[in-house]
Amino acid sequence: MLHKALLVARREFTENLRTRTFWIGILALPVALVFSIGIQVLFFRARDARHYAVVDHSGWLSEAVEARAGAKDLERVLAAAVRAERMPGGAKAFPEPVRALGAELAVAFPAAPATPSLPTATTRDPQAAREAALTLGLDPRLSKLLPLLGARAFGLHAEDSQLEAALGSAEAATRISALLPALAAWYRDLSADQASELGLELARGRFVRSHADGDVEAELARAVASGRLFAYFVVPADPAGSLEPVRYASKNLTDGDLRSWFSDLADDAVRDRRLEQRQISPEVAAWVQQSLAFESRKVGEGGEIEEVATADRARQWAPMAFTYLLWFAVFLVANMLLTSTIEEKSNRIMEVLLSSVSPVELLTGKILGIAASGLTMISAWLSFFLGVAWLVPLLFSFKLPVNLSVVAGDPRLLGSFVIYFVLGYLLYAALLAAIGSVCNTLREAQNLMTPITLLLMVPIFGMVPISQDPNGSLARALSYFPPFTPFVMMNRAAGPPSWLEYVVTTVLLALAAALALWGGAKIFRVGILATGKPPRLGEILRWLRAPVGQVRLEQSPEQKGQP
Amino acid sequence: MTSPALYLEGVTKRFGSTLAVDHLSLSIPRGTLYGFLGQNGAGKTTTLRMVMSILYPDEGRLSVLGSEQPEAVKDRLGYLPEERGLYKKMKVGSMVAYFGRLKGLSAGEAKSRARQLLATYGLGDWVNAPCEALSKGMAQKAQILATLLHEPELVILDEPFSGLDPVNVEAMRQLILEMKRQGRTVIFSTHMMEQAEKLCDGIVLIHRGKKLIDGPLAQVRASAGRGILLDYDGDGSFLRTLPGVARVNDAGKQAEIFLADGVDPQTILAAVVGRLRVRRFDLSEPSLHEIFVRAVGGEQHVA
Repeated sequence: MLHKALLVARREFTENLRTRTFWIGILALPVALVFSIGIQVLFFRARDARHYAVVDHSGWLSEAVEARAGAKDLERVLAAAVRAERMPGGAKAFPEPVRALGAELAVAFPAAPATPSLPTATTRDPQAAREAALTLGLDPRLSKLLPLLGARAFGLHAEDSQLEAALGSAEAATRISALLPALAAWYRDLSADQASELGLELARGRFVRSHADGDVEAELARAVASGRLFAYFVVPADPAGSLEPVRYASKNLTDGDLRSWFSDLADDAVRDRRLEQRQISPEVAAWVQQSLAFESRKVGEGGEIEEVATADRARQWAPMAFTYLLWFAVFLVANMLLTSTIEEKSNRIMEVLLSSVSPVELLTGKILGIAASGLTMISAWLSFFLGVAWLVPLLFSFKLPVNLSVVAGDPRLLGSFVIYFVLGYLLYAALLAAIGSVCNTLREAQNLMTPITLLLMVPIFGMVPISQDPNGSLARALSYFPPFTPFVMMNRAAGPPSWLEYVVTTVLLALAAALALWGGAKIFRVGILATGKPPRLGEILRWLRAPVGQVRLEQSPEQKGQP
Repeated sequence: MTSPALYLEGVTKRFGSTLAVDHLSLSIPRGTLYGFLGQNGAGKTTTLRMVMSILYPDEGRLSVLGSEQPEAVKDRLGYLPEERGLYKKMKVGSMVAYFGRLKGLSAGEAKSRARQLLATYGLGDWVNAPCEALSKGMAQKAQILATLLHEPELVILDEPFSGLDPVNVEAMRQLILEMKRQGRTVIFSTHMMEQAEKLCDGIVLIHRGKKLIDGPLAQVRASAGRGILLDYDGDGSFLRTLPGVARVNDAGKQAEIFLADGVDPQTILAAVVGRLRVRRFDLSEPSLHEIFVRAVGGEQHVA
């Protein structure tokens, strides 16, 4: 009995491995992922520099913006130079003034990067998150120093005392300060093309200011219309003292990169000017603007208050990822079963098989063999992701925000994943095998599949609300409906649900799977021999009510004792 | 060899309200070549499926190779259904071996037998080709070899000749005869009487789920009385109007003429000679076609 089922399973598996679709399927996900990320990066890199002009009635704002943009660019360049110095043998060919300062800084801060401060999901300020990402991998003291160096190179506000504090000594401060003019000079002569070649996404490479002749607005408008300019700004006479707006004019208002870049920098400049006018020191202003800090604590089941560590973040994040994976796995593998059943039917191969194996053996073998193929595919994807998660930090000295060992070590995650996959797959496999058995073509099957596809969408739509409130009444209620149980319970793992809920829902799910297999097998054994139009629901129900195998000869008592 | 290869007693199968097989009783001795004859939908396939335990009878007894549990002897049977397909992408060799394995052969044995058998029947070069590359005739051959790999004692072929061209019909005939020579019992169903006539040791005629005639072919034909077989050129439409003629099966160039009791065939010959160009005039047993038409009451024609 089992021997024949295993033969069927083995054929399903080995033949699946031989198909091109299988390998395309295995490669498709990673390739699509790499491709979509790569395309975005390429688009970003390949974007032409935006030319803009400024009609500056204030006489100072545009220069202030350029100085600030330069300071930020230098900060980026220096960060990259220091990182390059620290790489074993990997000092990129930076131009001399940059390399010299980078080397100096690398000596001054020899410490390997400590745990980097990471942009957390709670960071409300996107600017801060971007800055944090920029200096990733540099220790906090260096991250503080670099903006100062950039500012000083452009003659912006940067006290000697701050520099000394950041560098540790007055002597170091003078030595490093002495290198700054050369750096500023290098930057002044840097062309947009050279800047893009550095690959650091410098503002110099992305936005180029054209000094329009005459600065007459009508002329600029014509330049924008003809495409020579991307946009122009008109700065009012007293931006710091009035509420008069800066005008931004462009043909393309959907691409807001230039506008937001300019307005951020101009905002900073205007704010500094206002502080200066009211004689408020920047330190006081910074302190006033400092937002109130919040930190999260998790209250455990016993009422203990725990700090939220990265491990917990993994625990919050993992259920969603696992739910997706589970859903995808169940859907994909059950669909493979449907396709293979229909293939055998439409290839008229069923009856040959049935002369050697019983329908139940056939169904068992198919369910096992296809599960093996599907799991192979999913493991390939998982190994790809884990490989990337392991390789990327190694190659780019970047640390993942989550600790994977926490995920691997939590039995509630991995254990329940395996159990839910097995039970969920059996449930849906039985349904789809039954559907496949009564259809002759994939198109017929698609119609019958619709209710099941709709059913499967519910856990996907519920994913975010459920993970936000894993023990809420919606999440609880859905857990007890067996077709949703695997996904919803997986999704709630961060809650986590009580053990009682785990046991009750799993028992319900197992019963439902058993029932589905029983019914599925009955439909399967009749359906696989049926040809022509798919039967109506009433007819299928009649198959379900019929006793298994109808009258089995060996079971009729009056025949016992006959030769 | 005491028990018959196949024994049916009052076997009945219903599908909903239709009676597909109606109290069918039958005994087929071992080592014989037996034909299941009947029109499409007569119940031949349903009966064969019950023998293969793909379907189960609602009533009656069924014993295959002496076993009352047909499932237990499944591995000793070979079955070629009418709807026969191949796994398109699978290699011919592996597919034939796979069906052998499902019948209980070991992996190595199935593989070596498959190679050997395919080579014997001229498919040696196709062992590693995908099944979809085979022509229809070759596919047919591969299918039947797959049912023979495990050397079954009883081979059941459902409409083995349907959809084959004359060359492949002949090849199939040779294969069937060879199976018989090897001592296997072969049962095949067909609605083509000429094939059955040429091959069978015995026949069973099924009409609307009921058995009409059953027995060794010679006996069946002998009991039907003799008739005239006439090969001719010309217009034979007058034949059925001749005095003393009971029935005529006129095919245009050949006619079977059956006479009323006591009529001398010589009178017919005399009447025909002047009006037709006679190429053959033969006194013979009736064809299966005639027997079939008579049995079902002449109200239906056979394809």
